[in-house]
Amino acid sequence: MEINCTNESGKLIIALEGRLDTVTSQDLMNKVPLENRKGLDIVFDFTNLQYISSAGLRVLITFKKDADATGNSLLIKNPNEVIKEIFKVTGFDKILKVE
Amino acid sequence: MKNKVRFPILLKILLLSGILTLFVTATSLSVSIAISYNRQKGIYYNSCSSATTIVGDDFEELIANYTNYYDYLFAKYEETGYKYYELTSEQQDAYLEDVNDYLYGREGTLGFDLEKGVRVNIYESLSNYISEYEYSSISQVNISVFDFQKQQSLSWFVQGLGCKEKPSGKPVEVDQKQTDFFSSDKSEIQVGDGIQEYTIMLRLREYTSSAGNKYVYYIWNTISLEKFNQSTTRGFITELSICLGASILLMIIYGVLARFFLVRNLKKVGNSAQVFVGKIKNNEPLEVVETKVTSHDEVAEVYNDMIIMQKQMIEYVDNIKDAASKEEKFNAELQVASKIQLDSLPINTYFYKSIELRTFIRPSKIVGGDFYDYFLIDENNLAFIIADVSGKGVPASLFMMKAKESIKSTVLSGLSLTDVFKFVNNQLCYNNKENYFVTAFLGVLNLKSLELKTINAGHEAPYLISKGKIERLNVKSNFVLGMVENFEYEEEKMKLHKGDSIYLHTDGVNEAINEKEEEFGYEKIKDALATKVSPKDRLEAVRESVDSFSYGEQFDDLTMLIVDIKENSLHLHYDDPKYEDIEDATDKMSEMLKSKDIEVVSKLGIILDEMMNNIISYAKVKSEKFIDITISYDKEAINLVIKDNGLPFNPLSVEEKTVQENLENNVEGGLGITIVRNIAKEVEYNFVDKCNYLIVKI
Repeated sequence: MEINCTNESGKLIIALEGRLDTVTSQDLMNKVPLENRKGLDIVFDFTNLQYISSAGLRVLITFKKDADATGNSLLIKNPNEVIKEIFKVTGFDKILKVE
Repeated sequence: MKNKVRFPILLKILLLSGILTLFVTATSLSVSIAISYNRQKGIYYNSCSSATTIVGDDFEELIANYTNYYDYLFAKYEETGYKYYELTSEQQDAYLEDVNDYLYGREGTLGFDLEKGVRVNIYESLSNYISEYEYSSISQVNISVFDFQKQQSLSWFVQGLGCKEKPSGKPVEVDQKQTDFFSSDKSEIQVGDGIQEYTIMLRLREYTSSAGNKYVYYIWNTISLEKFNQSTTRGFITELSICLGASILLMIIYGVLARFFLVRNLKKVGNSAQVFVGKIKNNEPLEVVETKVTSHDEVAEVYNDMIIMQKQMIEYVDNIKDAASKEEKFNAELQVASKIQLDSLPINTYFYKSIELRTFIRPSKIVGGDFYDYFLIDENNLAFIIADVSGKGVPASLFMMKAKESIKSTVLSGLSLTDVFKFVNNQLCYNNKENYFVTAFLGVLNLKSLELKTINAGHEAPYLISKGKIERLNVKSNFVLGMVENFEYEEEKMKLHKGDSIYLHTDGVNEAINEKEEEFGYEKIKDALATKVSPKDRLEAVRESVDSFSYGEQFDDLTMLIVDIKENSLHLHYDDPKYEDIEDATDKMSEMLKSKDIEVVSKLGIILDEMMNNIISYAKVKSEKFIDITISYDKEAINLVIKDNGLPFNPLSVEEKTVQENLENNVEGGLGITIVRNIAKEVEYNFVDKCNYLIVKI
């Protein structure tokens, strides 16, 4: 999975491409540790993300919790139908802000 | 020890009531005697000794003319013309005594004929009169009766009445009635109706005066009936009260005695019975409840019989418990036998390459005679069998086990189907004194060519479901197995196609009976099969149809098997799987399912990912871990079967938690299972041959 991070006007934009599963979630955690995102609003760009597993969901939650702690927001942008379905089924659509 | 009835209850009762009667009688009798004796004495003395009072006009005359009463009396009676005779003094005494006896004595009545007059108790009247009027001064007793019809007074002297010794001397000349009266021993006087008053006169003595005149000495008593009735009533009431009082007293005594002699023992017997029954009810250990009953009567007999009954009951209960526990044991053994038997059958769900195989078995008795079997001959050939042993219960099941093992081992040895059945048949014929037999249908499906070889030994023909049509196959019946040695069975061949299903059943299905004693039949099987699409649903549909049709207890075993050939299948195997393998698997799966709906494919992908993840992360193994994946589909559904050799773990048994809870508690693999549950149509889990099988249907 490809992880592209950009900083744009005080927001951290993380674009993911491929699949966010057990392995790649770990990569994400490694690549974007807490110190990199602390105090920033986070936007996940899921345009090119095909699929997310429960491991991926966990990571998202972790990111969200961390953001909440500093009063920052977390937004998911452009998830595909499959991922939307996953959010719906798991109830994550109520926890995460999705656009 | 038996108590002889030496003193029967009846006797006791008679005795006690006799005592009662005796008591009452004695009481009243003694009272009567006491009273009469007292009175008797009084009168006698009174009448004998008293001389005197004359009432009214006579008194003047008496005073004027006579010096004593006796003279007067004598004179009076001479006037009337009565004759008399003389009694010696001894006779007089005797006479008096007799009269007394007669008047006041044991018989107590000088009676009149009841029909014609009134019966009078002279003694009573006398005594009552005396008490009323202080008759101590009465000196004459005359029996006179006034006859209102004839308007005349009839009097008799009581002289000679009841005498032991007839007075001597010249008899008195009296009129005829009087003679009759005196000469007879009768004490009855004929009187007319309407008697209101009567007098009793007793002639006691004669006297010759100095002038030579003869006189008679009398005593009389005039009594009115009215007074008599009153007094007798009073007397009666008194005596009655006394008797009543005595009776009540006696009854109390009687009651106490009866209680002591009878009731107490009866209660003892009753108590013993109660206590014994109580023990039974409370499930306490049973013992004979002995108590002391030594009354030598029927109660003791009853007591002895009850003790005997208690003893027998204890024995009986022991026997029952024994028998029950034996039966329980036997049933338990039957249960074990049933379990062994059913456990020996392969599991009801089997996925292999493009095959889905489902079975259903429900024995009618605990151990039945039906069986099915399936196994791989090699990686491309699947054998499946359905069979029905004649009979039910333990003997049939033993024969069934023999047949099953015989068929399997023979098939695995590589013989042709014809040879398999020939061999099995001969094996079953051997040492089959009971003449059991088995009907069987054996099919071998080549998974590559989809060629199906079949051989039938008297069993129900299978149904072929193909291209939306359901038909009963026209297979040869041959003959059953186990009856005739060296029978030549013929095998048959046919070609199946992807999407086909073969349905096998035993006659428990088509021969199920309803309340009109009609059979379920073959058409209804077809109809039921047609209502569903998935093999599992088809079996369920037939079962449901049979159950709602049937009436009464299931008579025969219900067994079914269905083999379904999927349109396409993919088989993946990973030894020592890594997370990277998940991607590989999902890619290959996507490739296979590229013609399917993307949403469906994605869902499957998620499931595959989650399940593989769980196995890789958490499954514990003793040897090298592996994951085996089969994906197959037909028009109806996509099936995903994930097999791993980890320790038994049923993901479905994990408590359903919400996503939140999952995340918060970090439940191992919990989130994945939640997702799977929510996405999949059906999820099944089995642990077979030391492997976990998860079957997911989308």
